[in-house]
Amino acid sequence: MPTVRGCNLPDDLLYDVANNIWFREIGDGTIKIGMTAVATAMAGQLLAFTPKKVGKAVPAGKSCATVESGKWVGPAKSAAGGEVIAVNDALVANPKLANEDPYDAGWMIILKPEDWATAKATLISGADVGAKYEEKMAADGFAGCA
Amino acid sequence: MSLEFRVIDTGLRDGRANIAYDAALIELHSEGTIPDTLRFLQFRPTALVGRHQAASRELKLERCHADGVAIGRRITGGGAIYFDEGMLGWELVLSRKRLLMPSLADYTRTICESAAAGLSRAFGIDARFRPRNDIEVAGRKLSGTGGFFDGDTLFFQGTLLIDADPAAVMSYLNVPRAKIERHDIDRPEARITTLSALLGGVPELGDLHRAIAEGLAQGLDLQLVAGEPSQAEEQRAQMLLDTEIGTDAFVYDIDAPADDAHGEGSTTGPGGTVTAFVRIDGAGDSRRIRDILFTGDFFLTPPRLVLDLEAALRGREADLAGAAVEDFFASAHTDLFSISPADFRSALEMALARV
Repeated sequence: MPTVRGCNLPDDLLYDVANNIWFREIGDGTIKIGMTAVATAMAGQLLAFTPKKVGKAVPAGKSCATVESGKWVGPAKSAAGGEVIAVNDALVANPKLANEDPYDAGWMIILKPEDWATAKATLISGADVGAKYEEKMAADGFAGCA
Repeated sequence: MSLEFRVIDTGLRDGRANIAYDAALIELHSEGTIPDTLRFLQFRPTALVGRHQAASRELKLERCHADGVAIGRRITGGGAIYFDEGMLGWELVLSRKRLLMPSLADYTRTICESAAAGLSRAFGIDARFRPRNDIEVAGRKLSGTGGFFDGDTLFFQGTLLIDADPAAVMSYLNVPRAKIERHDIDRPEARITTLSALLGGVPELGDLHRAIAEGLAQGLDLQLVAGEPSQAEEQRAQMLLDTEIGTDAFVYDIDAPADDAHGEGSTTGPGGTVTAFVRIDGAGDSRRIRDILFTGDFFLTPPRLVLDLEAALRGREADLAGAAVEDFFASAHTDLFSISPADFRSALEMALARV
């Protein structure tokens, strides 16, 4: 698994580096979406997570959830548009799961994507994500994951 | 080199319209069509919940309706606040890359310290930043703050209390209160203050703008340039007001039954009694302190330590709160106290067990 400045980035995922979001193809045509360890390290411990409701449409590039940390709120943006078909209720109840286990228990939503091929083409594979993230971290002045 | 910032004043508006303007600034800044900006704003009477709060739980809705106080939802985090013409809103939208700091908490600290320094210089008061996000004078809150981040765009806003009755401000919010105001510390004005109370009069609005602007300019090395709200901002704000921010669907999107659920615990020793009132967020091992109030007939100097302790405990995980009390007193400069840190811890843990 690539590790950049102490942040784990599993190589079996796809990444939207600019928005610090990971995508996993589940195999039934849906995709699971979550925040990377970089996102949660930058935000600090999450205090609230509010996803779009099941059945709602998410336009490509728009927010599929909002998170809150230390009075700061930020959107989690999905490069893929589509319909929300599941949300992680455990994360709603316990937002710090995103800090503790960002790639498994801390997933955010499952999306039934529209035009997944186009969105997927904009994402970076885990095998190639290390250099992209190093570049972004340098530009953002990001010290690293604790 | 100084960063150029536009300064605008959007005047007095309804609460939801002001929040829609916030959202418009963020969107247009993200799109690269407006410059980094300092905005001043004022509100007609409005009670605002934080982005992820439940309105029915945080606000006394019936009282708001009866008094003609509007209800809105911010797009920034934090707790519920009441706003009217006696407060001044100040906010920044800026490019993170132009003003790089390691973390969001660093932006909070630097911006608040700068604004506090500007107020202190202009009005001869001792305003200071108190983590996590308040500006206080002698322990009493003068300005609360919150933020929003979206890629390179950061948005940070504060509320300056100019001239308001603390009891009226608190009366619209569902916050823990001692059942009977027996002690000085039970009164709302023990925890919040206003410039009017500090100065014995209400400063001119222009002087307030200048104080905050000059504080931010000096602290953040900004070159401020007077500007006007743009047509594009007004149009985007109106669209967002009509389609999202101004709708009841947005304001009540997150809701929960009204409740006054809180825990209460007391410890009595030879030096007096301390009582803790606490409300929490979350469940199980993710429980956090939403709000906390200590009261009693104890003696503690400086008295502001109680207020600083409350501020230090807000947002803490419930399981770690007892240890946080001990940590607080270990690093606090306490001159004299009639009850021990262990008494505060005991009262708090008892209250948490009873929520």
